[in-house]
Amino acid sequence: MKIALLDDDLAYAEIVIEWLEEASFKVDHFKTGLDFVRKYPHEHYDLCIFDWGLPDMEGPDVMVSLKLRANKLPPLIFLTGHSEEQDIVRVIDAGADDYVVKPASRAILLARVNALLRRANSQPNNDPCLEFGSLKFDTKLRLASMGGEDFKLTDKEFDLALYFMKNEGVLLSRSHLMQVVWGASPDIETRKVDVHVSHLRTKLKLTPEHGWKLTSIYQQGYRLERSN
Amino acid sequence: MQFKDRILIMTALGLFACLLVISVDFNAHIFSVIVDNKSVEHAPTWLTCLLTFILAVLPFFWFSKFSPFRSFLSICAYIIAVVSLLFSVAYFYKVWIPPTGAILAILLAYPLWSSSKVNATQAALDQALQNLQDELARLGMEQVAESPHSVEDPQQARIRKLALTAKHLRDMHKSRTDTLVFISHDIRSPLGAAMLLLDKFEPNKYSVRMRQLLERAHTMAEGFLQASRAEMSDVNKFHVLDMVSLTQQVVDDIYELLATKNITLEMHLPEDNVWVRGDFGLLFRAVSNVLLNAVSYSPQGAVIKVIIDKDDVTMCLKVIDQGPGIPEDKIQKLFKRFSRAESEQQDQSGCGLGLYFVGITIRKHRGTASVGNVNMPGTINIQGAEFLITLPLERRKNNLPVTYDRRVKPEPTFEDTI
Repeated sequence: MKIALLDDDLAYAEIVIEWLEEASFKVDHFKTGLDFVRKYPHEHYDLCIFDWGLPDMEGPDVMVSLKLRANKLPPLIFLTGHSEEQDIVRVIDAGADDYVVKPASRAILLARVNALLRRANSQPNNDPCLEFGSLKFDTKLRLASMGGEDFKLTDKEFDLALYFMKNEGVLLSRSHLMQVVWGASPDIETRKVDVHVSHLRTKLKLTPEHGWKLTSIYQQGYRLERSN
Repeated sequence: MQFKDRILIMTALGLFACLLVISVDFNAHIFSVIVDNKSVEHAPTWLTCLLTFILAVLPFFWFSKFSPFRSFLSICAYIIAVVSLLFSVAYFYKVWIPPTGAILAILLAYPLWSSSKVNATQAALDQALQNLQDELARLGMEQVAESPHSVEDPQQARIRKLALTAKHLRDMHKSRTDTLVFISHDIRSPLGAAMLLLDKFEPNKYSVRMRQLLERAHTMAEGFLQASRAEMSDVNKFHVLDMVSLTQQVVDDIYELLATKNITLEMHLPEDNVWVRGDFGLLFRAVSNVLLNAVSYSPQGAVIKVIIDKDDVTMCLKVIDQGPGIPEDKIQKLFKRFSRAESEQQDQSGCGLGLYFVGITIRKHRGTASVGNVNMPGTINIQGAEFLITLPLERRKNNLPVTYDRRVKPEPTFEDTI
């Protein structure tokens, strides 16, 4: 797997490259947006990591110029120095798949990278019975269970739970969830997502005691992860 | 003063004068009726003089206590009272004391007194403003003099000068906060990177000590940054959020820490969502700070209670720990900057900004944050500390940010900040 890292902060980039190489990824490092945009058409990358602020242009601008040249972009993670709501909104609006707040730990960076690669390379699974940890989902009967005990989920809750499970570790924006699960425009009542997510947390016991961590990211998005 | 207002006041004065004339005419009529009645006698001159003096001097006792408008109203009421009193005396006791002297004195006293008061106030304000400007000038921050408007009376010029100075101070305050945010943020990044690099070394006693120092500096930079953010947060950008989910998420976040200290959380949360309007990031950190504080002051294997309650208009979050409690003299200061309930055996890793942040954040959300000790039932022995946060519930149905919220009071202009 090959990863492009675009970051002008050498001290941090060095650490990140080391982590990624230890995890047996190949890494191409670029210091400016222009370097990367020139090289990109001649290489294949499975994932890109961009710093938000670069000396010659901003991360999202690099992404836009890539979009002009290629139809499909590899999964993209932004490195941001800030972790405020407006920054996260900017990341999601820019169309990135995830973000990592600098200086992130090794575990977090690799978790984000792996989650996105897993989603990008997942094969369609036609088996109606899916297992995620101790949770079992029967997509035919639309039943979720744990240790033989069935959960009473509404239709939407089931869809939402399954979507979370299939995208474990991935940042799912609220508007994306509205579209995928409700088929609705993201502008209509958004409390709906919050209510459903909080029901799921309670019903499926998505808590660290049961090996899960369901995080709301400023209510702009959600992430379901396995907890150690 | 607006042109409109002047017209209004002039009309009111004119009407008042007319009323006065009419009432004087009316009084004169009654007066002649009373005096024509032979049984009414004129009071001796000494009594008239004495009474006139007393009646004229009396208002000065309450003048200084009232605002100008109230003084004006009280003078009107007083004149009516004096006239009625003297007429009643004439009617019941058949002695006539002419009210003219007293009324004239009172009518003259009011403008005299108020103009002298206004002059004194104005002089004091001018002096204060001048001092402030001199002080700013000494700091090398002179104001840019604006060309005065062509039609501007001294009062307007004064108000404009004051507004300009206020704006200047506000700008300075903002630039100070901006600088602080900038420094805190830019110090944080290299510190973080240094901590990551430290992982490369085999841990020894120096690297452990160094990590502690770096972490402390990092926490402090973070604390300053967050407190400034809380102060600068814009209430108009708040969203509707569920405090139950938020609290659960905070608890999930500190799960590992709880496990290492073997602390049990006893959660009493309502089944329904509890909606408030706020900034998710700030409230998350505030609840987190309160819980972390409880954890750091709790002994191994303790129980911490987390309770959310609500009534029709407010919700409250209680965090009750089994720590040593808070010394009485520290309770008042706990939400202030750099304060810690210091006691011998507690770890001192906090930078004293955690609860300060809680205080600012909850105030921004129009809530209250308070703390107290929980006593053993029936004794005065302290069983632990109780943190209480209350927030107003959101009653609107939609989730759009409000553009203008009338319930939000304007911010005090020069609130002390870090």
